[in-house]
Amino acid sequence: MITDDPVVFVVDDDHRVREALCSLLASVGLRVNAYGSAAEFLEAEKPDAPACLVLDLQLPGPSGLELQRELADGTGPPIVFITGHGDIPSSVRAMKAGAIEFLPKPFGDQELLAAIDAALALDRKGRRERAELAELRKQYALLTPREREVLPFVVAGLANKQTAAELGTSEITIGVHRGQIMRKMGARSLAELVRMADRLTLTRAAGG
Amino acid sequence: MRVLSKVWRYGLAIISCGVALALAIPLDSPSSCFFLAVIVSGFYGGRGPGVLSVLLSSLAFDYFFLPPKHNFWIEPSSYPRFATFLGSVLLIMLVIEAKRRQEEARRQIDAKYRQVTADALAQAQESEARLRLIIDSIPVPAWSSRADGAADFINQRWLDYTGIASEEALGWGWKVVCHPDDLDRTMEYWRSVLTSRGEDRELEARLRRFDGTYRWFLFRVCPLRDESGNVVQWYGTCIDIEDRKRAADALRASELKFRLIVHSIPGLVATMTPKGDLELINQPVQDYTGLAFDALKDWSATGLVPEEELPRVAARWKQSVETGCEYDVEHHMRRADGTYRWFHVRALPLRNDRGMVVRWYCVLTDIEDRKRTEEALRSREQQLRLMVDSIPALISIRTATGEIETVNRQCVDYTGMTLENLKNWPEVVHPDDRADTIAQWKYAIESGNPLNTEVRFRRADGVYRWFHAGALPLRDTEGRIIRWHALYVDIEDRKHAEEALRASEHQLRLMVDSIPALVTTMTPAGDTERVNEQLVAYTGQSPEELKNWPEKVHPEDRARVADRWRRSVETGNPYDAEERVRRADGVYRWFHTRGLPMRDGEGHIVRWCLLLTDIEDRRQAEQALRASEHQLRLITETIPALVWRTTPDGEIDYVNRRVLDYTGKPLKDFGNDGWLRLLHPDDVDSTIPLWRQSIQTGDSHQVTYRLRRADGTYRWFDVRGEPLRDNEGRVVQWYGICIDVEDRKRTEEALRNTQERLSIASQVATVGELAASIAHEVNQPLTAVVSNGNACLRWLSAQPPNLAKAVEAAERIVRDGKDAGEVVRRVRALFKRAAHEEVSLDLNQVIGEVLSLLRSETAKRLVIVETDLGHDLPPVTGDRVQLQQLILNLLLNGIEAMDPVKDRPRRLFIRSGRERDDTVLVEIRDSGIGLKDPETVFDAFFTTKESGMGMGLAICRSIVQAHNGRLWAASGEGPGATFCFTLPLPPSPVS
Repeated sequence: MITDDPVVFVVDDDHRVREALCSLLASVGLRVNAYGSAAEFLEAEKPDAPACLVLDLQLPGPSGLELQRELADGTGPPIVFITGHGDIPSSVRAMKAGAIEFLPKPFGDQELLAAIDAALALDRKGRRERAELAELRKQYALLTPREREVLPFVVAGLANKQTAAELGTSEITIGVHRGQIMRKMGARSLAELVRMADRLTLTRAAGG
Repeated sequence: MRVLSKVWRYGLAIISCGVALALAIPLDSPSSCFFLAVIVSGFYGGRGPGVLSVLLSSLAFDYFFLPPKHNFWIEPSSYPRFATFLGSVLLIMLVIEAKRRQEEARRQIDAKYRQVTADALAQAQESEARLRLIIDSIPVPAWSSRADGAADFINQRWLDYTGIASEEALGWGWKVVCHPDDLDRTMEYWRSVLTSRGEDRELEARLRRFDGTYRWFLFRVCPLRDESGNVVQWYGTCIDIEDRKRAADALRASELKFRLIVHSIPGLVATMTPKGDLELINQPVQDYTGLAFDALKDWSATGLVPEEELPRVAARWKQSVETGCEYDVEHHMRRADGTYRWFHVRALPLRNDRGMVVRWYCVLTDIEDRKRTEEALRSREQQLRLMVDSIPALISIRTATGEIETVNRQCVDYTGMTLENLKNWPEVVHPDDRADTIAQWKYAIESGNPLNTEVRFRRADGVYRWFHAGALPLRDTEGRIIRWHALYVDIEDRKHAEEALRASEHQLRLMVDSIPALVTTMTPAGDTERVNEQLVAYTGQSPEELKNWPEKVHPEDRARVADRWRRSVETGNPYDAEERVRRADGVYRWFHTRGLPMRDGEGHIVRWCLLLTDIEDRRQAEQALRASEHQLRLITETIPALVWRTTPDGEIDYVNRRVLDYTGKPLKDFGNDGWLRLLHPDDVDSTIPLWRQSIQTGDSHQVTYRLRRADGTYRWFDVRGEPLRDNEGRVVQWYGICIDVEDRKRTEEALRNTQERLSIASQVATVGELAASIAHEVNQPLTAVVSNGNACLRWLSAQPPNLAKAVEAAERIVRDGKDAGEVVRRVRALFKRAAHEEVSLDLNQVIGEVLSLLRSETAKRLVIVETDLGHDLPPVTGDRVQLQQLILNLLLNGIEAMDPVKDRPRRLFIRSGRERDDTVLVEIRDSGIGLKDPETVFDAFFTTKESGMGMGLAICRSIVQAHNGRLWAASGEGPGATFCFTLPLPPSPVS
């Protein structure tokens, strides 16, 4: 399961807990960075690797939930909450805001490690997807404006002839464009192209 | 007597003796009688009888008077007497005899003389008759009189003249024709003539003519003497000198007059003889020169005339005297005090019929002053000329007919023309003004009225400037105009100024008429002078009608306004009133009238300026405001709460009815912070700073305090104060409300008490929550333990096993386990709260104990502990364990608050000290993360920390309250929090 070098961030104001977790995670070969408060965590330089955040609820300054809100842009590491309190409303809020797991203290190592795994996997996936999307965008950027014009028609399933008619150009030209597009985008089939376009379009509509 | 016969004579002697004897015997004075007899006999009888009488007397005497009497014998003792008698009578007889003889002789002479005289007389009478004839013939009244003066002859002429008869006039009868005034003189004259024995004398007297008039006559008498030189007759003439007298009188009179004149002339007058010698001088001459006539006679030598001038003067005088020409010279003359003064001397000759100079009449006039005046005049003229030429105005002098006579230098300079050219003066006048100016001059010259006009004159460079021309005629003594004096003043600038003024006045008028307010000016007496357009437009009346301004004022306001206006006019104080003024359509609107007096340089009021501002809308707004205020008042009175209002400074100026009813105090008691006295004493200290702060910052005021009711009990009130701001945001007033929360407070109090009692007694709120708290406290170390345990296992099962790490983990387990145990212990200690033991303890000692407990913690966490424990801290009574707990909690909180702090030193500061007379204060300050809310931190089960008792501060508070102290927190200056608690000191047994 360990492909790249993931890192686990631990944020807890109790030093004993921090020490214990560091030791535990180190024992399973995970990189650990521990912080005593949300501010510390935010300020610290974080490595570019799949990451996971083990977060206590009660923290000095901003609480864990607040930190979660701050990191809510989706690019932050997935969060596993640990807490000494464990009241239901907090847990519900945390989960609804997208936390991976909500573990009351004391917790067993299995539970924690599983959550961490899941988080890391999620993060990896996310990173991969983001990387792919970035790649796609790069490829899309290579398209000429004309090709970008043609793309929607192609993806809509229109034949070259129809596309040409719509755009007022010849079929041949459209065919050439299509070939270019396929090549530049790296799509092996129309279906793939459609999927790519979907992802781009979606992202564009969402304001990516 | 010779005639007497001898007999008779001797008979006389005998008789006289006999008589004497007869008398002597009774009278017993023989001597006298006999003497007498002898005298008589001797004188009248002669010698013979005389002797006889002597004899007889002696015999008689001897016989009758000498002892012995009746005897011719004489006693020897009587010899002397007899001898004396005899001697005496003899003597007497002799004397008498002598006398008689003398007498006799005289008689003889007399007779002889008489004879002679008679002869002479006869002779005289002859010649007299002749003379009388002559006298009658001479053509003058003449007369002769006897030696005694009585007239014995008066000539015919005399009689003709006087018209009286000769008989009347003779003797002294002629006196009747003598003028009564001269009579005495005449008689006196006669007497003197007579007594002087014939010296020639003259008399002037008046005689009455037959017609009754008196004429002057000169009386001259001439005596006729006889051989012995005695005057026998007087002859006199009366020469008619009437005419002469008249002439003489006239001459005298005129002479007198002349003399008087001469002496009265206020000048020096002298007359000289034809030869030129001084004849007469009048008094002034003497006074002036201080010399008498005699001294002045030789006037040339006396130094009267100064030496330098003397030759000229003397020569001229000589010439005049010789030629008879008028003498007219001016020279100096010395005054009595030695000063020389100018005199003008003129002498005219008086000639008689033949043309010969009879007298020189000389008048000396003191012209010193005149000379001086002339001098002064000359110099003044000079000055004047200079002045005239320096005056910064053009001056010209014209003749009576208007021609230019002279001009001053300025004229010449200004016009650049000579006097000659200027005679044609219309040329320098501006063409447009020429005709008018010429006409004006013409009119002035003809009427004699002064000229007063404005005219433009051309300057040398061709520019025309405005001048004001004023000319006045100069008249002589008869009122005839001899000259015109004209003055031209450059008013160009003034004209400009006038223009500007006119323009600005016009502007002002426009402005006044544009002001959106009614403006009017009044005379100092208070009557309307001028009104602006707005006023006219508003009232719809003409300025004339507006003079009766009271009529425009609302009837109800009229009297008040008129009275106030009158007062302002009288005192000069500014006028300020509000009244309703009728608009053109009849509607009345409120106006605020303000008037100010305009004063001149001396402070006298020149006019009143009034401004009327339409305040109708304002008034209405005010009314509405008043109405709403009234409403508001009703509301505030009705609100079931205490409502108060203060000024921006916090002075209570209004409280509603309920306040007064509740407190039972009048409004004035609230002033000057008097309301503080109504607060519960314990609440005053906390209220004042909050209130002050609100006032300063303008933030809402919120406080709770106990307010005393009228019956003396205190009730809790929730107080809210809000500022009322104006448009600029400034606080205008504070409005506040006090809500009776006594019941609520009581309830809260009860609740708190219950809470506290619960927490103190059992220190447990709910098992579940405590459990949660405990669980949390224990959870931390437990979590660590579990994780460490798992970690240890993993390290051990690693390939190869990592013993070191495993050991570490295990050690951590032990440590954390202990921590957990510690928590449990603490909790148990809490529960195991035994009886609240009260002992006297030294707080500093307790603090020290707790600090030593925490030494390892503070060291580990790099916390710097600073203490400022007051020495002489008096002991407090309390439970040692609880106080330890309290301090431990607070210190721990502080330490833990600083855990996150990395950028500043972690400081834990403990202070203890005596606070006031009855409390001890302990302050614990950290430099940690501070408190968000100093109040809620004490709430039960509130915590931001995991490693601490969630109950901690709540329990701390209950401990402090159990000891009757106070615990509070503050986020003070700088980072970190400050916790303070106070504990009461036990009352000192001594003081």
